[in-house]
Amino acid sequence: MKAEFFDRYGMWLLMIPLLSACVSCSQGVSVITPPFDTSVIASSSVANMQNVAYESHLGSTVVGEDETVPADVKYSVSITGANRTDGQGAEGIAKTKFVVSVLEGRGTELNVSSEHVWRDETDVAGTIKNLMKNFEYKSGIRI
Amino acid sequence: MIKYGTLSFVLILLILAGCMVSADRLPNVSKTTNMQVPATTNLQLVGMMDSQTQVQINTRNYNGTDAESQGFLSPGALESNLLYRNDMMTNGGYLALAKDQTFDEGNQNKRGYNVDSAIVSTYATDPDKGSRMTTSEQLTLTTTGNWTPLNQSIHNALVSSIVNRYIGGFNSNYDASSDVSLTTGQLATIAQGRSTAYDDTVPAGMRYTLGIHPDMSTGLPYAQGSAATNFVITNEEGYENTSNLSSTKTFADSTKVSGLIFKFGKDFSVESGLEVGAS
Repeated sequence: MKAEFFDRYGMWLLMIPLLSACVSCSQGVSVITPPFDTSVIASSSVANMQNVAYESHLGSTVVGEDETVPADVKYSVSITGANRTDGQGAEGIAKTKFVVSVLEGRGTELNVSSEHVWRDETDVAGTIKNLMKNFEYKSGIRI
Repeated sequence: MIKYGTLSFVLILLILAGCMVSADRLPNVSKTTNMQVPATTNLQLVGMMDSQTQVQINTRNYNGTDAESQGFLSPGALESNLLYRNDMMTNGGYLALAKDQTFDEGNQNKRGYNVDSAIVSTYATDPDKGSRMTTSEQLTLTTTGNWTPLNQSIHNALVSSIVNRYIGGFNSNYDASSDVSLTTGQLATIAQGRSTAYDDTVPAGMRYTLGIHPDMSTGLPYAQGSAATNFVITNEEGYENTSNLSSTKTFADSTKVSGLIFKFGKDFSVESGLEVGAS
């Protein structure tokens, strides 16, 4: 959603035309979209690695055709030994981090109606035969 | 006479069922983001690891009154907090880990969960170092709500026309936690919690399952280490639209084991919601 980048409560007045613009349902009923504030972080890092095959994929949707297209972040990372047939793992230190935090209002109220935090961190050191992480964040309006 | 007797008996049953309405109502989320985060992890490691996962979902249905700005719930207002936390650490040794976790902030149906986590970890110590795997996991759900008129929250014309009563206020707390430290063995846990719902007929719920088994690949018929689990439920309910306490309940279970563990399993499941007769 475009409005993702206007995510500030202070911008609420600005968001009225942006977001609360009545989204038409099939019945023609208007729906008010409450304000929100979202942040998504996905990262991985390695240090002092030997014999490593390091692969990561990042995909994100941040601009939508219309408001029904959800914001989307996909991230996957894979760390294995360089030669997968010999069964030797990668040697070294690897870290992954994923944080999602959300504040939401309700209707046209400025009161926070829900807060969500999702946090996952993994640090490994040693012989890494296989470290694989997949995350997918999806968030949008359901009408 | 017998016919009339039967009829009035049926009516009394209906009203009784209406009066028995009690316990948790869950808030529903605003329609803004409907965030969903599925995440999977696979790890095979010889060495050290340190991992933390935390999920927190706080949801409120407030009416925006002055009382609420001072921290009180007004009639009909609801709040739920769901916290899931998992910490895992090894200081060496052989670890195979599979994690499958889904976090869905959206409104849930009876079989749905906001937090759904399954973790299986198999560990073997490094005999030169005497290394261990330690884990700590916790799932906590608190729900609280003020009284509300029954006919507003149960969308059943039959019931609301017969019973014009109130659903009392409530405070509930559900807590499941485990601490495990292994030198060898396999640990499997499932944690599920529901804190937001489409409507009042969907109960608050959580489930926590823990199993410790031997790691068959080592040839040892046992897992070795220590494990502790703790389950607590506390609940208090008000009477109709008063602030009088009408019932309190407590349930607590705590288990600690240490040594050679051939098999250790715990399953804790709780649901609490409204049940309206003849609906």
